[in-house]
Amino acid sequence: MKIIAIASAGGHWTQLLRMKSAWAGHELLYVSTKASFSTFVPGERFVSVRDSSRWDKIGLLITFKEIFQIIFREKPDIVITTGAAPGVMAMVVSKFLGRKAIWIDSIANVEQISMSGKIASYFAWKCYTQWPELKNERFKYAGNVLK
Amino acid sequence: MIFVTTGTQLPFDRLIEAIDKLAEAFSDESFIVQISNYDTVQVKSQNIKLVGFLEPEEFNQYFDSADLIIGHAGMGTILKALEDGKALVVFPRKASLVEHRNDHQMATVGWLKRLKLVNVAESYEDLVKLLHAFKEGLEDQFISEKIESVASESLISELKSVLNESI
Repeated sequence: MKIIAIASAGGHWTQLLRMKSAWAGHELLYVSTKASFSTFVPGERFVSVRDSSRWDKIGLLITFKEIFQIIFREKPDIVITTGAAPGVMAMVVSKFLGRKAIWIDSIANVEQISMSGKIASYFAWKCYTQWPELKNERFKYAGNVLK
Repeated sequence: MIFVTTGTQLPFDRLIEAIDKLAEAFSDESFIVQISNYDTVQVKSQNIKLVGFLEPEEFNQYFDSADLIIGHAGMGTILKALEDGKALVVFPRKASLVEHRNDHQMATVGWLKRLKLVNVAESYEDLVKLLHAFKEGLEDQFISEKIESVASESLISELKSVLNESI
């Protein structure tokens, strides 16, 4: 099975890597927003996309185009993300290209599901929160990245 | 050396100003401060070295050689400090001061504080107090048990079964 694991640089990426044993043995492509982050996943396929946030509208479009091209070209069975903006885009693109996508909301969202997560949940196949108090009909709780 | 991280996306001038003052007060200590808005920030203290985005290798070098990490309450900094068993003080961003989109950093530190995993500073005065405590040899209260760099077993096994289900 082919899996794309995508997260923006920083805490989202750190959390994604803490789950990597879940997809060990599958064909993988990692995607993040800093080219140098390939060093976190030695021996694995890695590509970077432009970083952007909701305040950078043109940047968002470029990132979206890059993510669309990656998912279109790779045809993954599963796209998995911990956020943030590039993760939401990956969920949207996956939905349109008929790919199954999994969203794991950041553990930093202690009191409520993130805005990104709420948007992503309309496109994702499965969604998780890392807080049992926040689970609902769209977000399942199955543990967290901290242990 | 004290390594200060403020993340890669949003500026955090309130923390940088507090660190600038801190570096004047603790002139025997050197500070390396990682910031996202390298071009617009200026500091008065001679003890501060400003750096922009750091590649992972360089970031790790500063992180490893620091005696203490002071960071914004981003999960990247927090998880790395916990994995490495590094002394850490977090200074959360506040949405009311337009330092973040919402107050999740306040909620994050509330949870980590209850678990006694981090020390929290919300002002310059808090930083002074914590740094005095640190320098007086109370390092123990700053270092929590190291955590492994893997998510909970229940989350891993859930994801494994979901991936298999999708074949």
